[in-house]
Amino acid sequence: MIQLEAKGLTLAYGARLVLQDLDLQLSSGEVLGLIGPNGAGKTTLMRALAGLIAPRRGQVRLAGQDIARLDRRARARLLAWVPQRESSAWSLTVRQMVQLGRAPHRGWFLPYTGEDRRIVEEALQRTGLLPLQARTVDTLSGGEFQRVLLARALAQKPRVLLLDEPTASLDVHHQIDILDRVQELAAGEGLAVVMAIHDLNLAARYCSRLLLLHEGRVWGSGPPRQVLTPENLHAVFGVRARLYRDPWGQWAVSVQKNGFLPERSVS
Amino acid sequence: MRASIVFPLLIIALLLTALFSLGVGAVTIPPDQVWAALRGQPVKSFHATILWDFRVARVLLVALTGAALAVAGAAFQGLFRNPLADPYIVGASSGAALGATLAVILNFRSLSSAAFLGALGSVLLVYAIAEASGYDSIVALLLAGAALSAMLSAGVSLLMILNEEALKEIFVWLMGGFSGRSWSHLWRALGGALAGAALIWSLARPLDALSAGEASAEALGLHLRRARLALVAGASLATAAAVSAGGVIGFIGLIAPHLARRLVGAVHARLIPASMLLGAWLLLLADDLARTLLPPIELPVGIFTAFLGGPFFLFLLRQGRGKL
Repeated sequence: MIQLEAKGLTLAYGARLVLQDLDLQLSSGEVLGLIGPNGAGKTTLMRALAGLIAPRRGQVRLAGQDIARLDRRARARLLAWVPQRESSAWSLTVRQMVQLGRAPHRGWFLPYTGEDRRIVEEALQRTGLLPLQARTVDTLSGGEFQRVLLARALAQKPRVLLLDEPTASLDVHHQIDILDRVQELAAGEGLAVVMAIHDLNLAARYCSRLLLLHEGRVWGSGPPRQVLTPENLHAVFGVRARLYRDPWGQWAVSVQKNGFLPERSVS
Repeated sequence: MRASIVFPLLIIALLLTALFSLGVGAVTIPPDQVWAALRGQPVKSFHATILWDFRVARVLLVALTGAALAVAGAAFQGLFRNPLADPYIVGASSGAALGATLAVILNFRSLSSAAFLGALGSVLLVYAIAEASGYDSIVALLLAGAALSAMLSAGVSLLMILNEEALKEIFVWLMGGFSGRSWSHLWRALGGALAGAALIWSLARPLDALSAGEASAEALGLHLRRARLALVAGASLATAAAVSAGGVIGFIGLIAPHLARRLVGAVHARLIPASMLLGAWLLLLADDLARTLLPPIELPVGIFTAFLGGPFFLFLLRQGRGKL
């Protein structure tokens, strides 16, 4: 079932075009990876898909409805957006932070109910945060904080989950920890996931489909092995790279050292 | 500390300080006399007059002002996600000063009403400028507030220099104080302060969401523009009421929320009432000092809030190892 759809999406900041005429479709259970060089418009596309910025042309449809016409809270019940970076101004506790995910359901004024508490509990448990629930967020490590953001998104009980660079600045253990949980949510709960991701190895391993953005348009799309071709990687990133099966049978990308130097590139 | 302990303690401290405050001043009334008068038992008529005509109203007004400044401070700190925001951050103090100055110069009867209107007027103007700037962020408010404050303050300075005979009256008013306040002042400030506080407390959850940043709050379904308007309206109403009651009193609105955060945590549903209790308590203490330090002269209470508030703020900074 198609949960999120972009049709003829053109995004711009003032006179600067970021992405032009982009189409995408996302169904339940899929994990779509947005890849591309810095400045390719991944974050801008994420924000447009979240309904946080208005497109210059085209539209985003969430669960069959134009996202721009959707009431904000109704939108937040269907879609959760986890930003690349978030800093908390005050030291809320982990539980208080995750509870905010219930605001789209309970509203801004009514007290939380037993159902809210149950759902928050479940989100804390799924993200392994129960032991940390009384800690204030300023005392958490980067990986723990990323899990709090994921738990808050889960408390929203969304159908679509947008993750902007969920593994940036995490060590390898926490990268795998977050992405394993995300993959499990997509497979188990039928969540439709879009994530912007820099690490091509993680993209190849965890995404069912990739969208390669470059020069304001979709350069390639499809399963990882069709998108992460040496030709595409050279054209988009300017590196010599190979996609291969690693000893565990997972797709992996290897980039040649100094592969970007002009005299050594394949051109 | 547990909120279930903190709130009763704060309420007891506030009540005891209020009781003490009723007894101090140019004429000292012993605590047993104060207690007897409050319970309706016969006391010296002289004491009864002082208590019922002045002190009770004054103590209530001081507590109300402290609470109003604290709630406005908590709202602005939350809205701007900035621990240095205070009730005057979007121009309320300079607007109030201009209103009061004009009232003195033009011999307008009610200085406090003029201050109230000046405070609300300047905030309204700041808000309009920020909206018109098209800079779709809360920061626009901060910038517009700084710009307009500077202009209004310059206007006040100019008016003071051109009207030297009014200088002292304006100056004393700007320092803040409750000398000569009574019931009529209390009734005038009550509505704005309570309405502002109620509005802000009702927005406790949006304030929590704003803690995560504007974009995250919007992604959680918050209508940022509406929340901002409601918060500025509530905080400005409370600030204007406070300024009309006691002049421009600094530091209470800055410190009370910080102290409250230490005691009950950052979640605004608890932070806001705790801030108000602390604000009321701190301002009562400062006012007691102002009344008793150099009798029979009453010193401007703003001097004490700044004098005690400054070191206290530094102490908090040190306690938190630089984290506010």
